[in-house]
Amino acid sequence: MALSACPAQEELLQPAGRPLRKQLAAAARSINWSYSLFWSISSTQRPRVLTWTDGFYNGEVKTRKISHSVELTADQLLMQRSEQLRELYEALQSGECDRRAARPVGSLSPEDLGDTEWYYVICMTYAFLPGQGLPGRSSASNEHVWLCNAHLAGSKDFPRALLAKVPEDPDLINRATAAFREPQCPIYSEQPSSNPSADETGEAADIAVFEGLDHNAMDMETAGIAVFEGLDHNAMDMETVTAAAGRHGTGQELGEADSPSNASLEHITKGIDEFYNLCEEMDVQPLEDAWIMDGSNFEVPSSALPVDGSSAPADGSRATSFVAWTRSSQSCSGEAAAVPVIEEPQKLLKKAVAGGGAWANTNCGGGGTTVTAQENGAKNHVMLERKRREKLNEMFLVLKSLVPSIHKVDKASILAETIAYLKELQRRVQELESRRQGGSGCVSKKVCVGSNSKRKSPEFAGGAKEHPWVLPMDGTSNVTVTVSDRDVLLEVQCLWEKLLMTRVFDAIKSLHLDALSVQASALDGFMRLKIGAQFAGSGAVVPGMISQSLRKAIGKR
Amino acid sequence: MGGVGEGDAWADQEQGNGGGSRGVGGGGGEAKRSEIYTYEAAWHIYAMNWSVRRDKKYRLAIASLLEQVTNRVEVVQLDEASGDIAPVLTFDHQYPPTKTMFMPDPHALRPDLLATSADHLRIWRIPSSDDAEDGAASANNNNGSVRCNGTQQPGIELRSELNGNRNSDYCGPLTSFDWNDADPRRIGTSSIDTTCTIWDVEREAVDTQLIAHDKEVYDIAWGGAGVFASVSADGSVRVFDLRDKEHSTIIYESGSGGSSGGGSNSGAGDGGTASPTPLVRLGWNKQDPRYMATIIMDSPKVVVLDIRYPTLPVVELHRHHAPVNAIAWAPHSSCHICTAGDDMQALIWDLSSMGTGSNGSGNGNGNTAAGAAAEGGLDPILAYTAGAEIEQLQWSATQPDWVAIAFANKLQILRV
Repeated sequence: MALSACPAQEELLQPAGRPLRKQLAAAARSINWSYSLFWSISSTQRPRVLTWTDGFYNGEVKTRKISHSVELTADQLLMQRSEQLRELYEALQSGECDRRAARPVGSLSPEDLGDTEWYYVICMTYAFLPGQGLPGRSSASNEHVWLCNAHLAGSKDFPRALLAKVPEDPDLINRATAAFREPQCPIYSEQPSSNPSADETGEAADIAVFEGLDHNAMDMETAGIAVFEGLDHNAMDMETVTAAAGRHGTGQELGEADSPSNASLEHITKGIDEFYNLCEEMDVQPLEDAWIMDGSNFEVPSSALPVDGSSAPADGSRATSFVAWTRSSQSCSGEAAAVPVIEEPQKLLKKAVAGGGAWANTNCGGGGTTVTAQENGAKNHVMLERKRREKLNEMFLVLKSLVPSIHKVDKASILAETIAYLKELQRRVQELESRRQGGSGCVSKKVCVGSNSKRKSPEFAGGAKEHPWVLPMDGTSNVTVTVSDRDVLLEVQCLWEKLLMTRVFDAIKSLHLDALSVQASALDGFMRLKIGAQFAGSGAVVPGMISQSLRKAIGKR
Repeated sequence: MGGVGEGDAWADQEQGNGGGSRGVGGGGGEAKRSEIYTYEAAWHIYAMNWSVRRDKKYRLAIASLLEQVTNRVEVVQLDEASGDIAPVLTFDHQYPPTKTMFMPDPHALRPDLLATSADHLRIWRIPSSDDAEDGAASANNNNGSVRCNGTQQPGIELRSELNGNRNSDYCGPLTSFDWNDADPRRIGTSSIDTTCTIWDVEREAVDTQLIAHDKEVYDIAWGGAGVFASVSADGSVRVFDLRDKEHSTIIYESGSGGSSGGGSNSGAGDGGTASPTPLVRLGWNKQDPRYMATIIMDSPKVVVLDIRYPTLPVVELHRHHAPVNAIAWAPHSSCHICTAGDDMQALIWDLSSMGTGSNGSGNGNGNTAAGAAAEGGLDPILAYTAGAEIEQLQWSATQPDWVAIAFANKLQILRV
């Protein structure tokens, strides 16, 4: 529907403003839009700004003022309305409030406008830079710009959205829907073009004044909704009658002006007819906001088709195999309970926990329960015996490692040698205890014998006479005997030589003494012996005899 | 002669069961045909369990309980389209299995394994359709009695036969086992030699062996990755923690406290009468590990326990008229439990009212006891009557809407 303007056409359109308005009127009425507008670049402004050039209003009319008594056609009435709106805008812009009384009777006043008419007038105040708003974008890219769902557009894309949303009030829409009528929302669309220019205008003060008037107009419209319905119905009928004539006339004029425009408009008309036929077939009200239309290709998207949004509810869960438990079912079960009395209770369960019959099969005999019980006892006993044996073996090993004198591995030997070792330890304890008691007594005897050997040495004869009990004969031999009850402590000091130890122990043995401990040291050829012995027999030997025997053993060479 | 007599007894059972089954089947079929599926085996079914894999729904393993060395195990599958249960796999098994269980592998990440417990713990490998040829090629017939019904059917493979006794090839029969679903490498077995053995299935070795009780251990149940409980003929429920193997906690002892101990003790290990009554089955609530339930031998009572209050039952379920054979907690709800017994009934209980009381303090327990005494016991919410004594009961973990029961030679799948 957008006109493809060219410089030649621009020159043609410049002097003849009426043909442009006729084209806009034909486009708006053919698709039943509320209005159509034409912006062009202003020649008076330094920057290239798109300003309002012309427009055609095809919407609701609140108050009609007829300047002549002659009957006018619907087309002429709408044309006159557009002119009146323009005159009102210019009057308001120039601030000719004082001339209100002087204006012609047919002029409109602000109180005579409806919401849609107010919107149409306010659009005249807008000016767009290239790239700003829909007309600006179309001018910059030199292409058609379509806006679908205008009521959802933001102010960035659609600067007049806030003003345009006034008719989108939910209450108003609901009221319109309740009357089974198409919503009274205006259809917003522009006629962008490249080169034509017009005067520019727009001030904030005017906009503020318009907003206040909008509010008042809305209140008035709410009261008079019924009147508008009647008017719309009549207007629609009249428009239907004159549609063919209007289309024919428009075609002729376009033919005279420019052939491409004529072809484009004819194509649009065909598309519209096809759309209405499709809607009639589907018995669906046309939804302008939902379909996309362009000059070259007409198509109806699937979103325009009625969609059954409600889906079938999901199937509920199926019934359960169980029934609600009640006392009656309990009594019924009570009757059924008579049957298990015959059977052995928990038969299979007991069979399972008894080992799944493995025991019974192993025994290959009857009386499973009894045999199983006995086998269980035997099994437990075997397990216990095994653990006990392992424990005993472990303890025997420990015992073997503790007792130092054990050399054999069998348990009997380990036990026997352990017993012997323990007895020996006990005996040592007794001996040590008795020795400590003896130490504190007065039974010790010391005998020093050396007088015999002194006489054999002539060089020490004088010394011997003076000290006969102290000095030994040769100075290197000394024998000390200490007797305590049955214990004897021998201390021998002499020059070391071969077989000396053998002779000493032979002497001890001949005296019936048992050697218990021996401490021997040989330092610089001088041997010291400390022998702990005990009387083996019942008789005790005189210490003197012991000393004498030891002297003999040492003296032998 | 004993065998012949027992055969006659079974024949009588068969006729009686047949009649009962026909009557119940007729009534149930008319009303709820699409909600009950029945499979008839050629032998008495005892061990039975659901498959846990996501890609093998409505698959169960059933095992026979015959008084002979050779027993059978079948893997059956419910065809949802036709509503029939058909055997998928059948093989021989030595000795009657006391329990059977699929590997708890919900996402089908590990090989498809099935475990059975009898004289030993056996792990079977069920080949999938992908490695059917490999399965057939690697079938190890030397290791056991493996036989297929059809030549085209892939053969099952005895993957491992676990023997816990190192000194000999013979060990005490296993009464039950449980596969750890938190750590599927672990299986805990209970035996009549008073021990519980924890196996490492991947290494096929004993992880831990504990002397759990003074008498036979009848059941074992995992409560977590390293915690399990067992029940025994000594009438106690004990909880073990693998991190502290020297110590176990006695949660409950029958014959003391609230348990009055009923029925004869003819089945007890030592024979004669004993003060504590043996406990034969144990179920640990997987949704709320604070609760477990146990069955008393020869008793129609089910005892629900709270591990935080040892020796004091939370509630005792009294509505069965004959000894209870099986219990199963709901896998998707923490306060529902299903019980089945010799009175041919499967009951579903709602313990939420009792559970709320026990969550509080001792006063709560007192209130619970008072409430139980006043009400005369808890009533089940749902009931189902089968045609014979119900021997086994399993609540599906992957399809919580379904419960499987086994009675006589029939396997039934019920919708909850």
